[in-house]
Amino acid sequence: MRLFSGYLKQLLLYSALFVLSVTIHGCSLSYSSKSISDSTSSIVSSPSSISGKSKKYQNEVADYTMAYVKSSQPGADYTSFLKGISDIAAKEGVTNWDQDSLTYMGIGKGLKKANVEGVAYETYKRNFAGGNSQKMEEIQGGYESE
Amino acid sequence: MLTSHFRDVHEITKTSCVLSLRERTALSCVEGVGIRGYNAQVISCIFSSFKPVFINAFFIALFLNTSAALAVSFEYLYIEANEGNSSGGHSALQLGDEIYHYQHHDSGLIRLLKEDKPEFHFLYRFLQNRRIHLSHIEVSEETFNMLREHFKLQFLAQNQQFKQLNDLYKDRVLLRRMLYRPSADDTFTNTDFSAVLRLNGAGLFYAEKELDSQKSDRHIRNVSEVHSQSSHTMELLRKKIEQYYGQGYLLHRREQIASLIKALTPRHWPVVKPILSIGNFPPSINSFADSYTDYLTGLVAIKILLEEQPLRSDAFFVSPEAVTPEEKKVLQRLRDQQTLSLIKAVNSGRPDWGYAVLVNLARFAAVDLSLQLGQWVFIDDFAMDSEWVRPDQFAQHAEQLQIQINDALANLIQTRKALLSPDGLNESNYSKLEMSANRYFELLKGTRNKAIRYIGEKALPTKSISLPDWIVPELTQQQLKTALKELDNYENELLHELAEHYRYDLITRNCVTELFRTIDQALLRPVKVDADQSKQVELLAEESTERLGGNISATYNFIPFVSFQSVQEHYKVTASTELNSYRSQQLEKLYARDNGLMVALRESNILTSSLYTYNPDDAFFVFFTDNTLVLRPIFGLFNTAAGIGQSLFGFLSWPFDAGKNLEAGATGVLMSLPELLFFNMRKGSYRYLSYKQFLNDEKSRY
Repeated sequence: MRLFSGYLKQLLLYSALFVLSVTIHGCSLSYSSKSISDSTSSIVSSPSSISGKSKKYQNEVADYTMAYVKSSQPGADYTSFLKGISDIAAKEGVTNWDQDSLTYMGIGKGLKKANVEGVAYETYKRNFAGGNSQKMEEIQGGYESE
Repeated sequence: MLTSHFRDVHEITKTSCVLSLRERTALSCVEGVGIRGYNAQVISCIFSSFKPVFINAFFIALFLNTSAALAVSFEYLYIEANEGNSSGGHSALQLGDEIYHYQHHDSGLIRLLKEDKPEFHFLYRFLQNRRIHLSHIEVSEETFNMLREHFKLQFLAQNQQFKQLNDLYKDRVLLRRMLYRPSADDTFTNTDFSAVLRLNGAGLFYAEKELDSQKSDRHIRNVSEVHSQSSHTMELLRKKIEQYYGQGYLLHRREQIASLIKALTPRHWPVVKPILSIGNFPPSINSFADSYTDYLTGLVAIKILLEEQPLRSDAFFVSPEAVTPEEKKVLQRLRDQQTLSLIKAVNSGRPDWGYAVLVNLARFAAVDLSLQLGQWVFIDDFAMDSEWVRPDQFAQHAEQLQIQINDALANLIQTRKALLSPDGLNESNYSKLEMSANRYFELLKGTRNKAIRYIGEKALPTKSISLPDWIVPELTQQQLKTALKELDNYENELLHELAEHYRYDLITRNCVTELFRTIDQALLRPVKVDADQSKQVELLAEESTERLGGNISATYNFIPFVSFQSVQEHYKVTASTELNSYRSQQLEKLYARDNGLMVALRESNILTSSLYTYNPDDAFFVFFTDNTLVLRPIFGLFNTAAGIGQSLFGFLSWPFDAGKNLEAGATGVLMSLPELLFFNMRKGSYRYLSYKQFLNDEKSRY
């Protein structure tokens, strides 16, 4: 009897929740394309969020590079890759990302994460660094540190 | 002034620390806490008292900590409902410091989002005032990494897919503008065109449409014509650039870009099927519109240098803060760094070098002006579509906003110090200082009875203008028509596939079902993805049982609350925690400090509550019902009556408020009806809570 009443209670609860969900909204609805970061960026720029930002930036670049490389097709457009890096850097308040060694270290880490090796790695390294030897060294540094 | 403010902030912080220390011992032992927080909590309990219950807690914590060292865990989150954008509750997955969740967008599609853990908790638990139930699921490190990598890849791939949709839209707007312009007036009338295609950063130097009046053949005026507008700063920079690259470099660069624009052709969108495959990047293409706007931005940057165009007066502000002698030295070094960055940016091979030049130019001018005036000058970094707070709204929430002013001041002091530290002089730190200063001085305006911009600050200045009517790619009508047709075909295909993969459905594809489906995909990936369809279900069940402790079907777990129970029943859950919402957290503090009955009576309704000031985002109500189960139907009755009252009033005020009151009243009734049946959804929400307070509360809890 107790088992039955427990069942009934649960059934009622689920039905009520289901009806409520259906009649109103389901899960979280965003009325605009703004993410949480967009809507709270001013509020959350507190001192505690300052530390570790550069590491976060480097990791974001590494993840983006990994995803790009893993999924890129032959003849992929490097220009759009660079625009993607600009977007990541902009969130950290950096516009001169192409003059920042953290960026190229991050790219190197991403290449390693994507398991790129040999000739493919050298090609990516040269292209992402635009043939600049210092930037290529920074990519290599990031690659080896991963 | 700043120093005295700093003293006040210091005193406030000291007081709150004393209070929280007392409360911490009481609270931390009552509330459930996460595994990571056990150490701090256990120590706090031991030192406060040696009661047996705390000794038990110590052993439990010790056990949990030991097991945590052997394996890692991720967390499944169930976020309780509240009125408004998530009355069915919500679910998310916490993987380390990142939280992944699916959100239904107004486009009718569902998207995966990634958030920083503290920001997510602040938004849901504090601003939206919703409790979060959290289950720790023990997994091997390999499984944890597998899940994290898969969610990350999925998030990045989806971002790229939606970015492509946006790129297509921009290309369409540009192509249509170029195709139909000859038959239209000579001025830009297409609102889509000026709203969608913008030159970011150019608004720091020019007003909207200011560049349109200049004819295309004279889009760069002769330097000799602009004596009146000449700026010493820009002249200095122009000379440095020409010293570095040679005389006439900027003119040559200008010609080069003009030729590139003329030769620009629309992208050939691929006709490959399928365009999307879940988890894969679509072909990465720099769109026609993006290339065009990038080139134009570059032209504007060169124009500014050649004509020595000064910053617009609304692009910066002079603060009352004096530059100290130490800061002066740092600013001089920063100015040298900026000059170097600028010289490099002008000749950079990156596509958006023009925007980098504009930001560097603006910031150089601000630093230079700071040095000249001896007072801090900053570029205004608020977006043009920032959210405003009216003076009456500011006055209504003055107490909470004053806390935010104190936070912003403390932040400004810290970022100023950071710039002085040995490794502190870099672009990122300067951006943080610029943000803190903008935040603080904007909030201060509120105390002087002015409207303020509350949300919309950016880490880089973005003030933009619509595209000037200078120079367009040289394309025939036929080329434009063909390009538009190709784009149409590709866009239709992409939209169709996006809808197929991401169309929101309340029952079959929502924030919960997609979390479980993504978990399944992650687990299935290393196993045979290409295995027979019939075997995949079996393989998945095996893999899921081995790695997570069980398998949860997305089909039968589409309600957040139910899915949380399923997780507890099927996965290897080592601990479950309930994280309090803001109001519940504050109520507990009040109960610990004051007379319980008085607190209960005072805080039961919005009229006498000290913890809640009516937020117009909430539908009107009288009684809080989330903490009172027994009285819920009675309170619900009052709330329903209040909702009906507001609806009736809404009928009368319809002509004057466009139905706002009626809508709020109807929502109020809808939110109150479940209360009659002992269910609670509405909890009230907050707009102006302090993020720093949230972080301090979190620190004191763990």
